[in-house]
Amino acid sequence: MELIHSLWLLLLMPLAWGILLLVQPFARARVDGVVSVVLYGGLSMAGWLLLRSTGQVPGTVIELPVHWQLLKTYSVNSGIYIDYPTAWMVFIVGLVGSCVALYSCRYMQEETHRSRYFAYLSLFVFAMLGIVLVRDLLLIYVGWELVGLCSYLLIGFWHERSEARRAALQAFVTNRLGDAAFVVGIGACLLLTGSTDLLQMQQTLPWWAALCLFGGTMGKSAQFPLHFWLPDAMAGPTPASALIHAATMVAAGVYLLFRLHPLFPDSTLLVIAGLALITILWSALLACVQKDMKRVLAYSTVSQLGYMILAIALHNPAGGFAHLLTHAFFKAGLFLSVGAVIYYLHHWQEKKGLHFDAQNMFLTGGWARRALWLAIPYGILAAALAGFPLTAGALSKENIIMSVWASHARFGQVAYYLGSGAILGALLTAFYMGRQTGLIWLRPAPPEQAAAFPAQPHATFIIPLALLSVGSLWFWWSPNPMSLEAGAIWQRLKAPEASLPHAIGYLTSAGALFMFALGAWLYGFSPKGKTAHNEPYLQPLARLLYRFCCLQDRVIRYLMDVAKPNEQTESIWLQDRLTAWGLKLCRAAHQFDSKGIDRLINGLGKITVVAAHVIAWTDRQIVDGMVKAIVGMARLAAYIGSRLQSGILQEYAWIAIVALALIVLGVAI
Amino acid sequence: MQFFLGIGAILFCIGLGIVLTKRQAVMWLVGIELMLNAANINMVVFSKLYDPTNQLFALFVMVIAVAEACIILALLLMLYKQHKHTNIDQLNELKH
Repeated sequence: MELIHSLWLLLLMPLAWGILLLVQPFARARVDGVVSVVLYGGLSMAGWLLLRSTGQVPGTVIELPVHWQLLKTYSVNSGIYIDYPTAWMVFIVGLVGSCVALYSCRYMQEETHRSRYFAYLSLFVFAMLGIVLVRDLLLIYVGWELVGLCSYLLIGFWHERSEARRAALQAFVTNRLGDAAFVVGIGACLLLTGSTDLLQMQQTLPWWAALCLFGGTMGKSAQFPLHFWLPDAMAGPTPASALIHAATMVAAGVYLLFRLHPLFPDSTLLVIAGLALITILWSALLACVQKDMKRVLAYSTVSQLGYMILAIALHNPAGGFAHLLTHAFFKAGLFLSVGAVIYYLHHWQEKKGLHFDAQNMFLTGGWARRALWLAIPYGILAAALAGFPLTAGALSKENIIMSVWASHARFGQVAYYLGSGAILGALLTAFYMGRQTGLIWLRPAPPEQAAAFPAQPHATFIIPLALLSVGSLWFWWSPNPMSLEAGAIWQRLKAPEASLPHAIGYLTSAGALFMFALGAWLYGFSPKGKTAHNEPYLQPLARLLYRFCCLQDRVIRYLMDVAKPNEQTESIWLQDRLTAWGLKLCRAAHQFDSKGIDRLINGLGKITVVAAHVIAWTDRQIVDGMVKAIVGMARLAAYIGSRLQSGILQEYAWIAIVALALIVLGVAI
Repeated sequence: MQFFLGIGAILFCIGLGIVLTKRQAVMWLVGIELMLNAANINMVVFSKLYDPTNQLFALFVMVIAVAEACIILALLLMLYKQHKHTNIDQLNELKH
């Protein structure tokens, strides 16, 4: 037994702890939370050490092979292996896991089934580590399904709420769709290359096999057209959302693509990049019109996953992977800080006996002034998501955008379209983060909500937030605040031919700053004469037009005052008109998602039902028919045979005589 | 000799015919006896033709036929006492 074999503990400990919690829940003591924090903290320490040992020499792989002879001619290497990206994943899963567990100690304090929650968290961490540590696709698939199961359990944790049950089921079934394709892809790998070992498969797969494998990523990482489950998964507890969105569930799909993309042909990768771009833009647009603060973040996760997949598809695995890691930091932190707002609002609401939607951004405000200790981490994390300079998010996202532009050397003209789309997505990201910042933090609070603000910060909220927001600053990732190229991840994982157009990165940063400011101005500050809460609820474009009209109105009114005071009606008509148009425009996007996508999915569902009927018919008529024919023949033979046994002796005698005569005749001939 | 074999064959067929067509148990007894006697005639013919020890089988058959006739007649009497008839087709209580 060497020391290296203790690496199995990485997998065994979360599993054992999860099972223990399920079997033996701790009703009163806070043991479950504290042990979880320590356990995941230990995991992240182990990840850090592994990172040190694999990061020194390029290509270092720690292996613990176990050969599992599945068939006589086919064996699976069911051991674990750890290389540089794996060590990163272990580190990030452990770190985000411990932050979430610490945060959950307070957030889930009053739950009766708290131990069950921590058990699911632990199993979730186990399943995710299973995906990143094992090297065979068949075993990855086991972890893959376990992740799906755990997400189902966590999203539906409050199973007494019908929308939680529905969302859990939706997430599970949507993932099954992707997983079905994934299984086909694994089978294709086995058929075509004779191996499902990640480290042994070399040969490029045909496009259909690659697309099937990507189907798994599409389901898990919520890529268009299977993206809708992730925003609905917000029905789960907020810390669980943080875990799902940062480290465990959605990262699995990106991680898989990161491992598999060298096997994909370029044509498939372009298709994947196109889908990723659609995902980025669509979900960013949708994030601009959400009212629910968690849904904004959920759509933004979908959009950021699109960036990662875009980067990996265009042969920049380093950028995609770096974005996965930095995104884990700031998205987990954003969920936790928004979750704290929801937690306090919810408690205040319960104390007062009020009933309003605590997650609706339009019903609250002013948190920056009352809870600065929450606002500062949120500010850093939101800046990181929006891509401000000096943050980790800017490093990785701009690296992706630049590499997309640079990939025209390989993919030609289409790289420019993809690159422009990615920049547009980045601007939209900055806008909706500015919008959320304005709505929750900057604009004045509704007067009746003064008591909702916490008197003093809770350490269980502060510590994870501080950790994650410090991690979202640039210096961990790269010594140069404007470029990822000086950082260790880029040095270790970069594609060989890499020279990036930095001007585009700087321009995107500047644009992001502007869009963030615009969003914050539109939603955080009101024009004179209006307060935050009597301004109508408007979608972004409409609001922009509305503000423009307000300004214009003032200008026109000023001119009118100078010229003729009786023609004000003209400008009011124009204002109404423009707002209505803007409203229509903005709603169209929203309608399309809530109705159009549903219809598409319903259509797909109907096709599936029809196909199922056809299959059922063949099953009943042809497969069953064959069985029935055999049964019928047996029955007929039995009928004829039973006729012979009439119980009438003379007939028996006849049979005996005839049989004897036949035998004699046969012998004679 | 073929003449006697022919008589044996005819006797056997008559016996068989009786057994296959008649409903009365007594007639069955008659048919069986006829078939046994047909066999006996064959035995005697073959003993004359090939091996005299075949006569032994003829004697055996006669003894067995007597014993069988005794038992069957006794059974038929008992059956008649119970059922007032000896129709084979209606004697099916064991079947049901």
